[in-house]
Amino acid sequence: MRVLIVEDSVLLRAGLGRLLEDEGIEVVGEAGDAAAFLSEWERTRPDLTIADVRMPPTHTDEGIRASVELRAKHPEAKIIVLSQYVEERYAKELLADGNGGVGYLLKERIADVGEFVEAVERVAAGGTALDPEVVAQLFARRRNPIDALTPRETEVLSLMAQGYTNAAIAEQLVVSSGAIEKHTSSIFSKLALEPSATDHRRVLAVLQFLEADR
Amino acid sequence: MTALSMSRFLRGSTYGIVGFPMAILWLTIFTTLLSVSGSLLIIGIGFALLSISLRAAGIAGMVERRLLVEILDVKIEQPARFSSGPGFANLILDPLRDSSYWRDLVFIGLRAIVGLLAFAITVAVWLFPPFAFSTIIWGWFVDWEFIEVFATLVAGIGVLISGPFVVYAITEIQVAFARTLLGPGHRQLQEQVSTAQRTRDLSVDAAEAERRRIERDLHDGAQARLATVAMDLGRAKRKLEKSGGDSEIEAIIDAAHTDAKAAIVELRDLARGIHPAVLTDRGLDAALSEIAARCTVPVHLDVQLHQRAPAHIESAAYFAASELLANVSKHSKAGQAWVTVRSDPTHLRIDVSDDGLGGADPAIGTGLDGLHDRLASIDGVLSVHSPLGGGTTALVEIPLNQRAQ
Repeated sequence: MRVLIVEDSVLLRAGLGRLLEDEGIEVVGEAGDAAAFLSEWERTRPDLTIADVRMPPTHTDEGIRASVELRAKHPEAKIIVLSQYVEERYAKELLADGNGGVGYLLKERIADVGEFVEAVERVAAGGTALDPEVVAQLFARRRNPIDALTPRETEVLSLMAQGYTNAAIAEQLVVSSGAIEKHTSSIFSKLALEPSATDHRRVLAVLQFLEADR
Repeated sequence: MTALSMSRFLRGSTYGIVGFPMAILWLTIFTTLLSVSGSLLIIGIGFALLSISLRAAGIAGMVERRLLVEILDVKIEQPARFSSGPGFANLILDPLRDSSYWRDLVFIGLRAIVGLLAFAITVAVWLFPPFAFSTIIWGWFVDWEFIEVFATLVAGIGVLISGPFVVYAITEIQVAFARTLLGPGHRQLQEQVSTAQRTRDLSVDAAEAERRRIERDLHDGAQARLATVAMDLGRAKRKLEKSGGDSEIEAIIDAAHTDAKAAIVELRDLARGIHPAVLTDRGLDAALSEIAARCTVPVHLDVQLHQRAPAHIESAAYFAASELLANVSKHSKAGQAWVTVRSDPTHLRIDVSDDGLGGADPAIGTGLDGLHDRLASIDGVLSVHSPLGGGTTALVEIPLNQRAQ
């Protein structure tokens, strides 16, 4: 896998590079601000970009804006955005095009190397990865139409939002894959999602969830 | 007559008596100065003389302020004098442009007239009763009828009783004139207040900027380094796991990894306590949804703002809401909490309520003192309504646009 790292802190850039190389992931480029991000992406065409939200010059949300801009031009670009804090709107802006292949994680998750690498692989394959804290915040905030879901379905949706597959969810909740299938199809119908390619629908469910109550 | 009012009567009488020489003095000086400068106004020198008259009124005002302190124990602050800089022209023009000199002059005029009256009244109040009572002795020699002596006696008693009040009243009138005319004017007081407010606003801004700087330094420095340490420990752990290495070393690395991650979270919370980055970047709504999600009690958050408030107000509002929500978590035993934020053109209002035990008393260490102080620095007000068993409602009101120009 070829990865582009966009991070203004040299220290973190180097640390992240070492970590990825350990896992056999090739770092094909590095950038420290939004402009360099876009030009490096065009040059290297990576399988995945890992970008910090906070970058020069304003140190606010350059990373998100550059990512959204890039994906508008190249919907196939896969991006994981790392943030110092949870901001659900960042997640919403990233997921808005409904294409998947995006992730939004708190920076400190990188330290849990195993889970981080899993998220990297998932997003590179076109899935999603939302930080558990982001998901928790979304649930705290939105009541509709989530109220219509049973507690178990809410639990499943929350894991789905984090990006887990049915098999992974089944493993976490210690139930059979079949049971999770049943829950997910019930969630899809309660959220009024038409049957379509499963992966696409999962992203839409999360998106629906983000749009609710707003 | 009580001792206190006796002393007031004596002081008032002294001030009344002193009124006579002062009136004569001021009348002599100022009628001369003003009539001369008035007649010379047509040629420029009159203005110079008028300026000198005003400076003299300033000195006379000082003398009068001194008399008020010495005799009546009334302290009146001297107004700040206007000065447009060095130079002879300014020396002449400054008093003419400074309302405080003119007010001194008006006071001196009033003092001369009212002072004469006060002197006359005081003398009458002191001398008439002895005169009246002595008619008993000499009335008979000047062939007064009984009724005349009786009427004089009654008048004497009347003056004896009412005199102190009259003296007191005329003294108070003079003090009122002095307070209005000799003290700093309304405009000057307002200027002092707005200067104080500006100074305070600047220090609020400086503190705000300093907090942001510290947060940024933490983020770029210690936080980044610690994150790298945690990442490297994570790598080491994973390598050991894969190679099936020494379980003792694995345990040590695992502990270090866990501690490093905990330190990251602690440092992040500390940085957030100093200044939440999300607040600067995304505003109150986003920052509050973060603390609402972290509250142990489910929070219904409703933020409706027309536009972003100034940074120092957002910051105070954020800390108010987080402090109040922390209290909900700690003390209320509530099942639910509500945070409502609204703004109108003049105020930002934050309502934090819960369905808990109630009975929160802001007076007994619920950690609201610091919040009170922090809000006071921007004229914000906190009111808490917490009946026993009836939940708690805390309302924070922060004025917008109240800054001095």
